[in-house]
Amino acid sequence: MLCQICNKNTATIHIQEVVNGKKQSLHLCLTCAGKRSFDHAALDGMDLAELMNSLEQSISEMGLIPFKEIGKSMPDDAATLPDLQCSSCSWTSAQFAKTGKLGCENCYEVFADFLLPKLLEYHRSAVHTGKLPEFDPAGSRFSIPKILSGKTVADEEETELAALERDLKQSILREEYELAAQIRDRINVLRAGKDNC
Amino acid sequence: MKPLSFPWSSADAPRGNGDPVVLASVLRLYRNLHDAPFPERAGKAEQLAVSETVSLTLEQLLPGFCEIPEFAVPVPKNECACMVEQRLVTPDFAKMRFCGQKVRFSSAGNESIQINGGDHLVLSACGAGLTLPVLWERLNTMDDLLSKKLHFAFHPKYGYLSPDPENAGTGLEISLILHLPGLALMDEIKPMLTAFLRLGLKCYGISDAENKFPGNIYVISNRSKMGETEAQLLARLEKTVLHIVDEELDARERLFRKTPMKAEDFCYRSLAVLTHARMISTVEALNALSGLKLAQDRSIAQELIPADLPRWDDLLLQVMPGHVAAKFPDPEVVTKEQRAVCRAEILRRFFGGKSAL
Repeated sequence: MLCQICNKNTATIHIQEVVNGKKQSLHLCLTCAGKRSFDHAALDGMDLAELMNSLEQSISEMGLIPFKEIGKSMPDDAATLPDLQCSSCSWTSAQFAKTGKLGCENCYEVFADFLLPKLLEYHRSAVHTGKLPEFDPAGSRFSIPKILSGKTVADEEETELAALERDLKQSILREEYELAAQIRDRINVLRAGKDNC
Repeated sequence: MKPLSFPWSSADAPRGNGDPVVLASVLRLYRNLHDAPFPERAGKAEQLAVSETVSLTLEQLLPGFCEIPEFAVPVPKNECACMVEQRLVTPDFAKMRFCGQKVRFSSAGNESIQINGGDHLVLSACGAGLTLPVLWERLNTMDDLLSKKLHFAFHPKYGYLSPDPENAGTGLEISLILHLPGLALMDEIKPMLTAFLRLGLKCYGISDAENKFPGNIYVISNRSKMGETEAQLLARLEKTVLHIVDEELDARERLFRKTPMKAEDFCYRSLAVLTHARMISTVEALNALSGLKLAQDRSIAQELIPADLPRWDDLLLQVMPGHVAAKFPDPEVVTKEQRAVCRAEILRRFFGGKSAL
């Protein structure tokens, strides 16, 4: 369901007000809820500022983040996110927007502003209150190598595929058909996504 | 080992309350390593390095967890589908998108550790019925043991980190598999589903079928994993499920009191379909098995239920598309119609009807 104010974002706040037996419903996204001061036909006489104030009081009593803070951090138009890139893994905001996934732990800092509404959509609050890890640096002998190639598996496969296709053409021109058949089989495997190291 | 049962059916898996409504409890913990790119971003070398590191650590700390020999990479598509149907691996893992993907199981078969699925590690434990405290104790112990040696990606504000922000925070996913024929037959299931949404619970069916909740089986799980402690999450889910159990049992009582013919018709008709159908789709089979279970729970139509009938959970698995396709020489090219015929044949053999082969 889309927000009744902006008609762009998904509505995640649903308000029902009953006044003199008459029920009114309002469906808002976080951004519009954060802005609050509206004169919009969708409101149909509802005093949004007053509603949000009373909701906010209950929410802050529960220890959650009030809407006005969320409204401030979100850009007006969700489609025009700033172009950010993680300094650790080079994951971009476009990749995050496309896949909904992050590239590494550092992405949580880099994309914090975009993450906040998502986290609040999924979770009760955007602050962890559970257990902590018990890592013992002295006890661990393992370390993972930092990013080596800077490429994703998809990038690497695309490079390999392009090289194989070039080799296939050349082996056909040279009439090395056995080699061409082997290269063709390898291309088919990559395309089918069955190559699993 | 090639089990043909759900992992919670294992003799060594914990058993809890909630019968006959709560079929199983499944807990998952999503963990990722510090200073390593998440699988989505990582190159082949990084994915393999993570897989190697985690495997070596597991061999040291949890030697009882072993890889299944049959799970050899690359895994055929239908084999993956069967593992998802058996709930041995998550659907994300079964897509086999990353290098170094492995899964290890405990000797009891009800606990597993997935490596390099969507997350670096997914620890799972399941039990029959409502067994949340027991499963959490086990999972928590495994997590504490591993976290001493493996440096998990953790943020003071966001908790345990995951490529999917939905799995950040505690990273604890609690799923409960429920059988709710009473609420369904009394047309009271829609308000229940609405309530699930309001409580921040996800709800989905057991099969990938178009009919969303075939067999009146509902899998509910928490969407929220941040903002509550693990104990609060577990308590909230347990309280919610116990309430659902009460509602379902009450609905069954009212069903059999107010519309006994409707209830009996559902049970007897289901048995007729299971015994005599020549073609049966996954949805039809699951719906009929729901009638069978209701009949068994209420001791109805016992004269029509063979004494040597396999466990209901096992029947559920046998009718799933992947498991039916596995009966064919080439499971990858089996059509829907061929599966429907085979499924009916399997059920007729179990029920020993007049039209059995």
